[in-house]
Amino acid sequence: MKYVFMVVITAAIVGACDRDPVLPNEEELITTLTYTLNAGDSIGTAVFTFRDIDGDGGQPPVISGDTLVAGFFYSGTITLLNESVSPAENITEEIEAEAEAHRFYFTGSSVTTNPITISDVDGNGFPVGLSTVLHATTAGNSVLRITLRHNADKSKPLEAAGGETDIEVEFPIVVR
Amino acid sequence: MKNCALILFLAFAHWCTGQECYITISGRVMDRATHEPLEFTTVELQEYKTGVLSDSLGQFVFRNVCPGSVHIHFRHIGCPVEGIFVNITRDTGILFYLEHHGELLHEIKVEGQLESSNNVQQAISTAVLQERPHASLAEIASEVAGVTMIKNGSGISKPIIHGMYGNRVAVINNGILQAGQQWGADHAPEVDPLIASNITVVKGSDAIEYGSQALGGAIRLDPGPIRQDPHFHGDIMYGYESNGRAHLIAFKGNRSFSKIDVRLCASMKRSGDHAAPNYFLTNTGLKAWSGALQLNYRASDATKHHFYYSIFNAAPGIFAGAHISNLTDLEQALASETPFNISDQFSYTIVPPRQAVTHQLLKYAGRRFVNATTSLEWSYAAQYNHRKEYDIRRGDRSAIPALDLRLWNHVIEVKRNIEGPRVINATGLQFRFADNFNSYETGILPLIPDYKEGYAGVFTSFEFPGENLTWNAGGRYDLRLLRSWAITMNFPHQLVQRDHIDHESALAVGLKMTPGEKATTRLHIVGARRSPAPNELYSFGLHQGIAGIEEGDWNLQSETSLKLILDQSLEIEHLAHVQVSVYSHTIFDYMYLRPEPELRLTIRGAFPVYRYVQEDAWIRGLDVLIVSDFSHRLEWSGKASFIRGTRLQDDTDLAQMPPTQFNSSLAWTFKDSRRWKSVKINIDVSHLAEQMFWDEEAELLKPPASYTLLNAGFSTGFAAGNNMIYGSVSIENLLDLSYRNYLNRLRYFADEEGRNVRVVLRYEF
Repeated sequence: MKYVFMVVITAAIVGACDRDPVLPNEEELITTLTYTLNAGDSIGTAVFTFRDIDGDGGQPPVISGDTLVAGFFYSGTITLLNESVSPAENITEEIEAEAEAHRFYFTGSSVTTNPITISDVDGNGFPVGLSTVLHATTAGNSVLRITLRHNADKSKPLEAAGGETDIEVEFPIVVR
Repeated sequence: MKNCALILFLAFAHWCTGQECYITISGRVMDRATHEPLEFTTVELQEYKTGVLSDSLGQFVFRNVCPGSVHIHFRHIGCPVEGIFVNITRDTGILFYLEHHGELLHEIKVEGQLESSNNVQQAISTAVLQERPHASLAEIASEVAGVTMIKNGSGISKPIIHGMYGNRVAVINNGILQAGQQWGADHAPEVDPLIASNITVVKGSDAIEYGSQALGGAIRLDPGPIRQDPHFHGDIMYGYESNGRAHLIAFKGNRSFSKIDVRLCASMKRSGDHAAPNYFLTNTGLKAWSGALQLNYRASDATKHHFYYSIFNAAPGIFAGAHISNLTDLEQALASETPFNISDQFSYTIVPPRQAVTHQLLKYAGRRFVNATTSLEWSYAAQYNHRKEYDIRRGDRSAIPALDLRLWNHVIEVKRNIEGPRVINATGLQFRFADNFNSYETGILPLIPDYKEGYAGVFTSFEFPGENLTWNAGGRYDLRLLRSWAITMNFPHQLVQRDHIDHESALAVGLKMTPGEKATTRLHIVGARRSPAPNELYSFGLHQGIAGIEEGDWNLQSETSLKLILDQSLEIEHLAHVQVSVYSHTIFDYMYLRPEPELRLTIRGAFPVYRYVQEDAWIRGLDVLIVSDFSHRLEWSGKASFIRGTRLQDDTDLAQMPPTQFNSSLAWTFKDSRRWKSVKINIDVSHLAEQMFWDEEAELLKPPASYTLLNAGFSTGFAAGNNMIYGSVSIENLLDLSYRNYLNRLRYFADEEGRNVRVVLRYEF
């Protein structure tokens, strides 16, 4: 009897004043990074994409690499999207707006390319990395790592720059 | 101080008339813990500006006292000064218990609360509370053997009792289970130790009174009774710490009226960046303030009411060198000599990542004596907790909390106490209800989903006191209903309402044997069942400063625990008090975070994933405490604790177990002069061994090396008129040693704090 009484009271309290929680709108999330490399009309465009629509959990991300041609210069652009909201949000603009606080680092592809040079600068004259130039040099396979740091010390190399990692993705690069 | 305020008035049949001064006040001073007479206690009659020393039997006498009210003060080496206020109309005898060995096993009477005398629990000496006003609850509780803390950098710490913390250690603030979002290592208990007069660590069977949350033990903070003194008394304290350049002011005042006793407490603290020996720990400042108001209303001799309100506010920064980092960042941090993102300038500024926490408690309790042995108690308490955590974010979002959790908690309890000569019984009903909800403005999926939780419990405990053998037994049953709005992991994310019905129960038996005057043996056996907490079921996401994704398991079942404690106290006359505790704690279906073999790839890089799993575990250990008794000027005390935790299936080690620890403390107290009282110097050595038993799969790095720290202190009291000024200087990490602590979650990134000089001034009136 006492048990029934307790169940009723507790259930009444828990059940009472019910409400409908709402999921927050994940406007800040970056789901998709696209690195587009263009070597002009004759060679065409190579596209590298990292996409993880459901964030940190759930399904694993989908990564697609591409093939470059040795001996050509490519101009690269990075696009960041939040595709978890509809319509998709362009995060690239947020980086541009806070260019002083952000920098992309490109590492790991030295077997097949010359070091990637960053062609855009922020208001303090430091590199940003949304626009780059890539020179594919040697045929072969390598892995390109793109890192976006927030509040890093831009005067230092990646290993010593500190800051917060907003993005760290790797793409297979094939140069033929 | 309630520890000392157990006073017996023996009225002698001696009538007196008129206003002539021929009253005699005589009495005896005893040690509260050992019940031995306290020789050399200075007993002062404030109004007469006269004092006497107690003799070898602890006795003292004042003659030719006029009728009227007097303040009597008791001073003894190594004890906080205690006083009483009495109205003298005839010859009076006083038996006063002074807190002499606060660190020894205590049998504590709390006003309005029936307590078993058969406890495995230890009180923190009041002197510790007064000399370390900056310390957090976990730091204070660590004074007790067998208690350590898990830290998340400077200023954020939570207590570990016998290897357990978080959901398994209950914090009881003024009799009420502290409700907070205490599931993360970076969530310190939201309570200010300065508002308490007494802090007690409960390790034994009496912890079941607090339900399954006290599986590993409980820490109790009690405001203590208010002295019935019609004058305004209290203290004002100022404290400074060189490391962090911290300033603290605190005030405590109380006054008694004919039927109402009032106490008011308030404190404020501000600190900047702490420093390791070689660099600043940038962004480890803290802004905090708290307050409490206590009203005790004596409606009649039989009925008493108690009102209490407290508020706690803290805004700590999170160390800048320990941002949420993936495995690459962690490798870089480990390879780097000094942490990243630190500044070479000291600053009071606190920037994201930071936290802002508020906790409020409102309580009403009543007690009524139905007859000489039976009393009824009833209480209601409401708590409101608001936790905001800010991260470095893009846009103007750094000003929007990344986590914004609110919690409402209500507790209703009724209890009947019977204190008979042969049996002591307490039986009661308790209802608890919690509503935890996230703000939707964060723009980030919450770490813990919204939930509501209700508990309905019945409990009873019996104690059968005896000459040489006292035994007690208790039981508690709780029905728990949990409704959560869990978030699915796949896209698009959805909310799923999930209901859980669980039964929690606890049974405890304790024995206390006193074969001789000098030895006491206690044996406690506690069995308990705890249902999974919302964080163990549903947590999901990255924690501040921890390189890992934490994931709950929706299908966890209750865990069952069996704890045995054997506690032996021994008094070796004129040599030492020795106390040894051995315990064994087996937990079936123990819920804990275990790393998954596969790393998880996210757009921010690869992270280890820690998921809640259930396995059988066995945690056992030994605590030793020795306090010397060969001289009343020179005192030595030693503490040691050993602990080991393994999985039962394959005998592998559990992660996050406290390493073996030794402490040794030597103090010398000088002879009191007319002005200078309780002048004391002390030197402490503590050694933390390297954790040899660790889980290689769960740790990213080998545990840090062993270290030995040296602390020293000087304290004194100065008589200023009728009042006292106390001053102390203490130095922690005297040698400015660089070291890292296994139980600090930021050990991968930075050294522990360097030398710290603390100065505390306290004016008591």
